[in-house]
Amino acid sequence: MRTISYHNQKDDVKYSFAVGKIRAMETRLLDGLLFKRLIDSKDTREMGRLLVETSYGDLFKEGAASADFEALLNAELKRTYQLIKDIDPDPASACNLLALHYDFHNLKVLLKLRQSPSEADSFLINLGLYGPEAIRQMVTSSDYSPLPLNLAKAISSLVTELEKSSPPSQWIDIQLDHILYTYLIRQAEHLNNKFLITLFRFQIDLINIRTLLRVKQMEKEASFLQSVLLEGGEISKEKMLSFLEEPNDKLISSLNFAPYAQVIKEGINYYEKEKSLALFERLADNFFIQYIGQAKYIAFGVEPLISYILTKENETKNLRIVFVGKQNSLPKNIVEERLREIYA
Amino acid sequence: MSNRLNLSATRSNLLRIKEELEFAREGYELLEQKREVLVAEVIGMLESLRKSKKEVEEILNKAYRSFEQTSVILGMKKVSQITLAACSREKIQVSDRSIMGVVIPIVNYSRENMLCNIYGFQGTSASLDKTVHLFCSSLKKLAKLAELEVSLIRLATELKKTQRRANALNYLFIPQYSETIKYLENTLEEKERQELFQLKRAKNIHHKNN
Repeated sequence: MRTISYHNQKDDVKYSFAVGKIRAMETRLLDGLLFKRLIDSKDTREMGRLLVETSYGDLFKEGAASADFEALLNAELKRTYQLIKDIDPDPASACNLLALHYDFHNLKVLLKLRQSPSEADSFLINLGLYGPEAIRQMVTSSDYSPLPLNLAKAISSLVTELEKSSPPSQWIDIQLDHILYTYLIRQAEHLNNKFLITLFRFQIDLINIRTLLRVKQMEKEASFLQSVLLEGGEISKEKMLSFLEEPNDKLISSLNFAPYAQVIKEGINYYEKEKSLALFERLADNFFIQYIGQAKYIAFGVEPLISYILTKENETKNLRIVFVGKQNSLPKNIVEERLREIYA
Repeated sequence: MSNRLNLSATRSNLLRIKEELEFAREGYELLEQKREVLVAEVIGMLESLRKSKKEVEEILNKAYRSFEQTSVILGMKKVSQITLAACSREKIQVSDRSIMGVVIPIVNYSRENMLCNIYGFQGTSASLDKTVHLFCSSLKKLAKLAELEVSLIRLATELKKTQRRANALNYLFIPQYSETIKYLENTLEEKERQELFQLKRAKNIHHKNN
């Protein structure tokens, strides 16, 4: 991967304890060897037994139903977010932004099921900056004031629109994605955290490129693409729209100098051959793992904390891939092909 | 055991039975023709059914495989959240046509919107698009398969019924009636001879007395 130039401006000494703790926690992350053993294991029970010896030990202790692994993995993530909250010296830290997408997931569920909120329980994720109960409260009372002002305003007007015209459920997803990413970029800029700004920009770019390819495959028109493309990336919306009519080679050549050029080149070449974006998605995730890997060289600052959260997210994602694979008796190679890179 | 009907040997009975036998023979011929048409239809349809079944199996197999891969990447919770409030406006119209009096359904399947329009693009993967597309396409094929299966069941039931009726006529009704006719004819001829003989005897006695 090409090195991403970014300068950490805040060598903040107040993070020294937190970073020290994170460095210790990082040694307990699951390594490639364990993933190999997990893939080779017979079933989810055996996987549970293997995980007992790791930092997941107390969750997967003897007798715990490893069949409900989604809940256990979420519990691990909840613990990770709690740990970060406990050691983060800044209560308005950039780490808060990372949990927000769970609140948005819950918001999507509750808004889609606003006619029958009781059914929403099984779809809610017990994670997020606010948590499912707070979000439910906001949706039932239509009062979004506990959220930051920008978000509250945007979501309130979305709900008003929703009640007026009852648009398709896709509209809710698209609008909430716009609101979330606009907010994330704005907050990262407000915090003046270059690490996070670049991360979100790259995320938006790669999401937009993937969206472009998906929209192309669905043979939808430019106006639809325009409505789903996220704003705030390095590549402007107009430029992305211009790629709709161009062959995919053009996309590769014009983004040849982007930091994620390799993702685009390999991902799109595979897509052209196999008509599958699986490799693109995996390479994109790997790109972010490499990107956050740079936080290893930062001794003081919030970046190692951000990096730890994202690494844990990636780790649980990988575990879920192996669990679902085992549960459905998928061939080993299918599971291996989908595993994301392991931060080490 | 004699197969014939238990009828008194009268000329009117014989005429009636002959008429009925003629009618049964005509009926049998018609049923034979119907059976042939039905057999041809069933054989033709069997081939289409086999093809359609294979297509449905293939596409569903692909769809479930793709679904597995999607749930591997996204997790079941996310997949269930995506499918929430999914409303796809399917239209299934069933009209009828008739083959030899058997009512056969024609299933017309149409969809107003694609299911792809139910989720956003952030946080969902391209394999989800593929899964949704495969499941949507399988619905059209499933409608065709349902049409063929129901048609075939109805045709096969009718064929069985026709076969049974034709067999009943051919092996039971017609032989029974033929035998009855033979018996009646024999009995009537015997009666005639007897009467003739009695007449002749009476005539002779009458001559001698005179």
